[in-house]
Amino acid sequence: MTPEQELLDTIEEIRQKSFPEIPAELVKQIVVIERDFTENRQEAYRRIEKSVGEYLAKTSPTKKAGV
Amino acid sequence: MAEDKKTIGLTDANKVIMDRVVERAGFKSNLDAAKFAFALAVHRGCEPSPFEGVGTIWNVGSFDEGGDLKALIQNLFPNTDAPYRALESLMNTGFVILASEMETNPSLRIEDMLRKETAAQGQAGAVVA
Amino acid sequence: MLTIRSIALTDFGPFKGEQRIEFPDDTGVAIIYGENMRGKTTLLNAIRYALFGKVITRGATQVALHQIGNWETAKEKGRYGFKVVLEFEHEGAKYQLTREHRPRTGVTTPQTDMDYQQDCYLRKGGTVLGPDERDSELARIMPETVSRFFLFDGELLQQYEELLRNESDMGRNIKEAIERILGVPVLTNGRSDLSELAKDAQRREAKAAQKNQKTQSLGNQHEALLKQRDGLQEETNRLKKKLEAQRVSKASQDDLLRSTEKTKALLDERSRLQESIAAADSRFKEKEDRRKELLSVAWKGLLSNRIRSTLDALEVELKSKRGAYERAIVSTDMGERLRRALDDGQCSSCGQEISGAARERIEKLVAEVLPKEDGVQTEALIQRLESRIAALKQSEAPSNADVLQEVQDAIDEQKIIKATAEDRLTDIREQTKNLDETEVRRLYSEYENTIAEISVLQGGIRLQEEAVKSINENIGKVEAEMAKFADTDLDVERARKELCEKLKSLFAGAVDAYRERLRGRVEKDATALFLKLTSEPEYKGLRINDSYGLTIVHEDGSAVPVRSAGAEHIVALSLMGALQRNAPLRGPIIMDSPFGRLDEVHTTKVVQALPSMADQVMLLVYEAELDPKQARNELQGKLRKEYRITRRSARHSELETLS
Repeated sequence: MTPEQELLDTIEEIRQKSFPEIPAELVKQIVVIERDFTENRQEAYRRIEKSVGEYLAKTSPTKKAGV
Repeated sequence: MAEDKKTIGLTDANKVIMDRVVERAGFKSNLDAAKFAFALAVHRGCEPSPFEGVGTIWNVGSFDEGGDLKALIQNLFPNTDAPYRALESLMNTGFVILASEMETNPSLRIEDMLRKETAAQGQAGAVVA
Repeated sequence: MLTIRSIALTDFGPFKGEQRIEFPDDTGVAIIYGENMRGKTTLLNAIRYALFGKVITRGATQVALHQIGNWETAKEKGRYGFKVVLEFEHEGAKYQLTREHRPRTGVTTPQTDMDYQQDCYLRKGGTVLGPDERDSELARIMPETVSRFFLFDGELLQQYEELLRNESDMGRNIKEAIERILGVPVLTNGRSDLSELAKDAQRREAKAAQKNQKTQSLGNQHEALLKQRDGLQEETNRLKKKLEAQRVSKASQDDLLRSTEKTKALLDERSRLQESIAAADSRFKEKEDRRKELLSVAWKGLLSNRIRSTLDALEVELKSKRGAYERAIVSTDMGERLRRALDDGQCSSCGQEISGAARERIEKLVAEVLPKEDGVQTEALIQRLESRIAALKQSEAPSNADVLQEVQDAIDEQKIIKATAEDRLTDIREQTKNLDETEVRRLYSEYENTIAEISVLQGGIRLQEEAVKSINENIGKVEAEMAKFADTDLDVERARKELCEKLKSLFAGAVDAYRERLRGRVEKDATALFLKLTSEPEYKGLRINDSYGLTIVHEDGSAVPVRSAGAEHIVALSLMGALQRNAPLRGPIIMDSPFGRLDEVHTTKVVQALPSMADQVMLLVYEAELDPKQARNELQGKLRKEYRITRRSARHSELETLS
């Protein structure tokens, strides 16, 4: 198992057990962003904010309701 | 009857010995050493005898405050009519003895000597008994 | 994973002109032989320069770059400056990194760093990346903070001892660097970013509530509470920073104190000895005085003998005189009666007449036979004897020889105590003669202050955190109130906040779990490697602590506390190999003189284990350290390339291919 996979596995295990309502894909996205921008914290923050926002927009009740 | 001495002292040689004894044995004063020398001579059975060439060191009044020593000498040596002269001669004799002891045994300590003398005393007492 | 393909140097250090090292395509080991001062460390520095624009010496201090250019080229050709081109691969992409130092326009003879300019290009595939992208790409591939695990010299390895001392500043840095390559920051950064996002969502929630009339006052309350919390949080952070600074301070003070512990102990002992000597002096004086007193009266004891024998004689005489006296009294009385009888002419007892013959006899008796003792004289004599005896008895005194001896013994004892103490004191004075005592004492007092300060800060932080907790409760209440109102914007922000908070908790949990897993893996891999490298059969493996410090474990289960430099070496190499295996960030291991402290047995074992430590290994060694024949034997197919750095002159080295 590669180290990256180990990290993802660890967090996925906890997600499944304690936070199943959070989508695995979003978690993976955040992990990748943090990995790629460890030296650029501002960029990492910005991108995570964007991912979270995009996810919420996709799944918001208004969207779902088609409003 | 000769008049008793008013001042007593030591020969030059004995004075040197006294200084050495005071230093080595750690006597508080010359006086203590002198009394010790006197007592040693008496202990060894010496008798008062004329001693020539003595200088003057002490006034008898300051040497023998209260006159106890005089009374003691008169008691121990009833034949003497000049106790201070006797004291002087015994004192000088005592220092001669001490000089000889120090020469024989340069590392001799006064405590050891005292013990030796008084042990002999005990033994002598036992023999007599 | 980073794989180096080639290094091309131009006038870098002793490497005059253009020189190049190619690395094989396959995984394996490349060895570069070179005697000391030929340029082995320079090669390492060339890679460092290419990646980070820095060159460091053995002491880890930076070297002024204007000193790097080849001296001969400058002298002979008037050409200044140097260049390194690094070709490498990472995650399937090919890169070419060029970094160059050349004199600024107009400067013919550069003297300082200011006279140079630096150019740096990173080509990825066919494209040259822009400066920002270049920097972030390089930082992603090989961050400088972790370069120590890939580019190092043998002297670095002793820093791993620091990991065993959890509190040391260097240990903490190394631990952070290790966690960095193990990927832990991905999770810790995620946790803090998401925490910040959640807070941001709360602020947006407040704003949304304020927009709606129904929830305006709640919104205002919310905002106010959030601002308050921000303030408290800032203060907490400030205190935490201070605390951290104090901890770092304490750690370095710990180190200093450790080295002065011995000194302080000496100083304390010195004080004790001085007191002891003073006490001995005082007791000595006391005993001396007592001794002199005893000596003063010792002469009395000496006279006992003579006094005793005189007393005995006197007592005999007294007894005899008393007898005589009694007889004298009796005979005086009788004499009186007989004279009276003579005078009276008759016996006083019976009254009979005294005859003529009887008179004659009586007269003769009175005159001749009756003792002529003078009672008075005898009485006087007796009195004198009695007073002499009394006086002598008073003069009797026991010998105090024993007591004197005791006192002398006590004096001797004090002398010995004092002499011993003085000896030791001289010793200590010698050891501490160059010492700045005030400095030592200052260190200790500073240390106490730091500890006190830490305690105060901890208390302050606790209070702040309690206050934050309390405010969070209030915020929660307000948010619960706001939730009762249906409002789209409010709902969106609430959903954002809840999601971010959950994500934050998820990442927080993952941090601990991942650390646990990692430590377990690193321990396992380090142990496996260690057992290959060590020649001691009684060593069972390695045990890891929170800081990735490794302790050798004996087969009986106990820890092996003290290690030789060689053992330290082996443990550090084991850690290196284990980290490589477990790190999301991987690259070549380039070692400068790694075998200096190892014996032949261990050198062989390390060489054999090299291919399993990393995919690409580069050794910079001198031949006495590692025999080329031995290396070839041990590595065989895994040895891909051999070079030698040869000397042309003191300032000119050439790279020669051996195989």
